[in-house]
Amino acid sequence: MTSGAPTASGWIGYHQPYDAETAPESTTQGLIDILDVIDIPVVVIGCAGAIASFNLAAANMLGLTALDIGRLPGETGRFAALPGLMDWVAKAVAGTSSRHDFHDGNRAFVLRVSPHGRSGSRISGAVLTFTNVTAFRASVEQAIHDREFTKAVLNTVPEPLLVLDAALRIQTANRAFHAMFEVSREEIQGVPLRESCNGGFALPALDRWLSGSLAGEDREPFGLDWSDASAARRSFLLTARRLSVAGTTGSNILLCFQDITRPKQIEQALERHAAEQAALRRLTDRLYRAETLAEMHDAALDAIAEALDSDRSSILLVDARNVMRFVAWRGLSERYRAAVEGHSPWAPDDPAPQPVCLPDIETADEPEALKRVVREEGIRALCFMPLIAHGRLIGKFMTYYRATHEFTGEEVALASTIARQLGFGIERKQADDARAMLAALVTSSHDAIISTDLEGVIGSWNAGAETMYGYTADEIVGKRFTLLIPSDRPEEEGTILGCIRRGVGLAHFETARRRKDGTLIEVSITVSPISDAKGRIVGASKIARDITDRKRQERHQNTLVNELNHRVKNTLASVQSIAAQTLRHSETTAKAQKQITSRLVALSKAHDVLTQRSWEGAPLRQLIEEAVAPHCVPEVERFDLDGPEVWVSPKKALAMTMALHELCTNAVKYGALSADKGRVRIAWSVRDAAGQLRLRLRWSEIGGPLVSPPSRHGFGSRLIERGLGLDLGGEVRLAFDPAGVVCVIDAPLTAEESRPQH
Amino acid sequence: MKLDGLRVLVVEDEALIAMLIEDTLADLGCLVVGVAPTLEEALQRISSLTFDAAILDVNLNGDDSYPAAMDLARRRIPFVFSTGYGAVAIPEPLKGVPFVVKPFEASDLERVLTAVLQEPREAN
Repeated sequence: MTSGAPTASGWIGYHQPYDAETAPESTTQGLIDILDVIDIPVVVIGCAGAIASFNLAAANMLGLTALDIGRLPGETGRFAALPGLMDWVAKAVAGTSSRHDFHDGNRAFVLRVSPHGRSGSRISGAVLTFTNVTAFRASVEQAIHDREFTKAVLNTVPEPLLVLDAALRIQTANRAFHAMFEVSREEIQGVPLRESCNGGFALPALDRWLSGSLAGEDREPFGLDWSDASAARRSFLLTARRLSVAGTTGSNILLCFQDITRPKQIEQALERHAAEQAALRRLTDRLYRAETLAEMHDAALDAIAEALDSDRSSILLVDARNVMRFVAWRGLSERYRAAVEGHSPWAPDDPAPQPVCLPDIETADEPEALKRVVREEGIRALCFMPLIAHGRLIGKFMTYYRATHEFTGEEVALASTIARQLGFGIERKQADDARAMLAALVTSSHDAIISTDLEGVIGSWNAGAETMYGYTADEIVGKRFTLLIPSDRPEEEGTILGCIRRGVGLAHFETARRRKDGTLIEVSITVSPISDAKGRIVGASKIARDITDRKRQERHQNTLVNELNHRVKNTLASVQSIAAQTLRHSETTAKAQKQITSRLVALSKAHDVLTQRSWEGAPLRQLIEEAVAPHCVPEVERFDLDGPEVWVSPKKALAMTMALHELCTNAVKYGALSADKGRVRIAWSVRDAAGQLRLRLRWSEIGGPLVSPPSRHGFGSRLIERGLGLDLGGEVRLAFDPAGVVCVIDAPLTAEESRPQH
Repeated sequence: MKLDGLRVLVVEDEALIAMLIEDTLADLGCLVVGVAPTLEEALQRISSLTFDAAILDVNLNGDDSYPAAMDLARRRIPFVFSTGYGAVAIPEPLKGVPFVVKPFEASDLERVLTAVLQEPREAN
C-alpha cells in the first residue's frame, strides 16, 4: 500500500491549504495541469460533495467531462458504482481517510479517500486517488496461492522435510517429520537441529555436511542411521538444498529425509539372497566336478560358511556299523569331535529325518554331559541337518554358533538345500564309483560281456568279447547278435530274446558261437534282462565264458576214461587168452596154474615198466632186464645183453616181454639155462633199410644140451611165432638149432621208437 | 553147428586176443582165413580174401576200424565189432552193427555172428 501512496501524499503534502471555491483559479488550474501528466486518476471533491476538479487520467477512466464539475459524483459516470462514496467523502471531510477497492474491467485499483486541504484546521474537501494495483494484486494472490500450495505440498510429501536457517535451527518441519520423529511443532521450532529429537542429529559429520550445503557445495546425499524410541533401526538418505532468503544475503536449507529402511532391507535381502544363490551355484558346480568325497565335503563346508555365515561346521557320515563319524569339519577341536562322535538326533532307520535346531544349548532338552562338552567348545547354538541318499539317512551336517542363534525359516531352508545337494552329490559319487567299478569289471573281464536291445542289436562290447570273438567293438556294435550264432542253431537267439522279453534269464547255458574267422568257440552263457529306470525290460546282458579249454579237458578226461576202459578190457581179454591157451595146452591143472601165474606175473612186470613211463613206451634194455631177471641165478651171470638204447611202444613192449618170458621158460626147462654152463646172448641193433628203421634182435642159447624140436606146438612157440609177429608187425623166426635155440626178431620201428632216449 | 565151415576174417591188433578169437572161432567150427592187426592190412585182406564174415576190433593201434567196416558193408559182408569201449565208441552210421565187449565168452561171439548172418543186410 505504501508504494503507491507517496506520490499522492507528496503531492498533497506540499499543496497549500486549498479551498475549491476560494482558491485562485490559476493555482488550481496549475495543479490540474501537473496532475494531467500523472497516470494516477485524481478527483477532488469539494466540502459540499460536488466534484471540484479531476485530472486527465481520472477523466479517461471515470468518463468525466468538464460538465461534471460541480455535480455530485453519484450523478456522473462511473461513480454511480460507488454507492458509499458520499459517506467516505464525509469521513474524509471529518478528517479520516479511507481506502476502498475499485475495479475497472480487469484492472484493480485502490481508491483512497483523503481529507483535502488539511492545512490548519480547515478541511476543504476530499481527494480521491485511484492507485492501480492490478499487477500487485495478482502477485499477492499468486504468492498466497503459492504459499498455500507449498504448504500443502510439504505436508503431503511423505518424506520428512525440515527448513533450517543459517544457524542450523529448525524453522519449519512438515507433518511427515513430526510423525516420523514423533516431535511436535513446539518442541522443535527454533531449536538447533543438533539439540532436537533427543540429540539424534548431533553428528559432527552431519554438521559438516550441512555447513557445506549451506555454503553452496554440491554434496552427495548423507546416510543416517536412526534408532527410534522402540529401538527399531531406520536408515535415511538426507539431501539438502540451499534456499536464498529474499532481501537478505543469508540462506536457508531445505533438508529432505528419504527413508531407505525398507529399500535397504530389501537390498540387503536381495544381496544376501544373491550371495546364497551364488554359494549354492558354486556348491552345485563343485559337487558336480568333485572327483573325491573329500572334495565334496570341502565344497559343502564352503557353502555353509558362505550361505549360512557359519565359520564352524562339520559333516558326519554313517559308517558300516551305522555310527555317525566325522569326515570333515571346520573349527572343531579333536576333543570335541571325539566326545560327540556317534551322537545323532535321529534313529538310523528314520524314514524322514527333520532338521534339528538348538538356538541355545543352555535351554535345550539335552543331557547335561552333552551340554557341558558343547559349552566347553564355545558353542552356544547349533543345527543338525540330515543327509539323505537313496531315500536313506546317510549322515548329517552341522553348523555351530558362538552366541545364541534364532534359526530363521530361510536359514533352515537354505541348510536343507545344501544338505540335499550334498546328499545328491554323495549319491551320485557312489553311483559313479559303482558304475566305474562295474565298467572296470566289464573292461577287465576275460568273459565276453555284451548288451543287446530286444531286437538283438548289439549295444556294448567289452575287451573280453573282442578277444573271444575276434570282432572289435567298432566293427560289431549296432549289428545283430545273430552274426555270432552258428548256422546249426538258427533258432537260439530268438528263443533267448523271447525269454528276456518275459523277464526270464538263462544261466550257464552251454552252446557255441561263431568267431569272426568262422571258427566255432564253445561258451557257457548267462543272459539277464536289462531294465530301464521305470522297470521296463529294454534289452539283455549276455556274459559268455570261453569253455573250449574246459570242454577239451572234459573230452580229454573222457578219452582217458575210455582209454583206460579199453586197456582194462584188452588186458582182461589178454588174461583170458593166456588162461584159455595155457589150459588148452597143459597136461595138468597144477602145471596150468603155475604157468598162468608166471605168465601173468611177466605181463604185470611189463605193465609196471610202462606205468613208470606213463604208458608212453619203455627202453628196450630195461624191458629185457626185467623179463630175464626171474631166470637169473644170482651167482652166475647167464645173460649177455648187447645193443643200443631203443625206445619201444607199449604194445611192442608187452609183446616183447611175453615172448622173452616164454623163451626164458623154455630155456630153463629144456635149453641153455637147464645146464650149468649154458648162457643166453641177446643182441639187438637198429638199421636203416631203404628209409625204414628196423630193429633186429637175436636170442641165442649156447652151452645147453642138444636141442630137438618140440613134439607139440605149445602156447609159447605159438605166441612167439604168431603173436609176436602180429604185435610187432614184423617177422619172427624161431629155430630149434641142436646147439641152442635161436630166435630172430625183425620188426620195423617208428621214428619215435628209434630215439635212444625218451 | 550153425557156423560150421564159416570163413571168418579177424581184424584185431592185440596178438593174444587174436589168438583167443582164433581159438574160439575154431571151437565154433569156423575157419579163420586171416588175422589183420592194422587197418591197412584189414583193407588189403578184405579185398584179397574170400570170407563169409568178419570180426572187427573197433580200435586198431589207435586207428578206428570204421573204414574197414564201411568197406565190408559196401561188399555186403556180415561183420561184428569187438570192443573194449562198448556201444559209445560206435559211430552213428554203424550203430546197428552187433558187437561183443571184450573180454567175451564163446557163446557171445556165436550169438552175434549167428545174428548178423541171419540179418538181411541192406546195401549202404
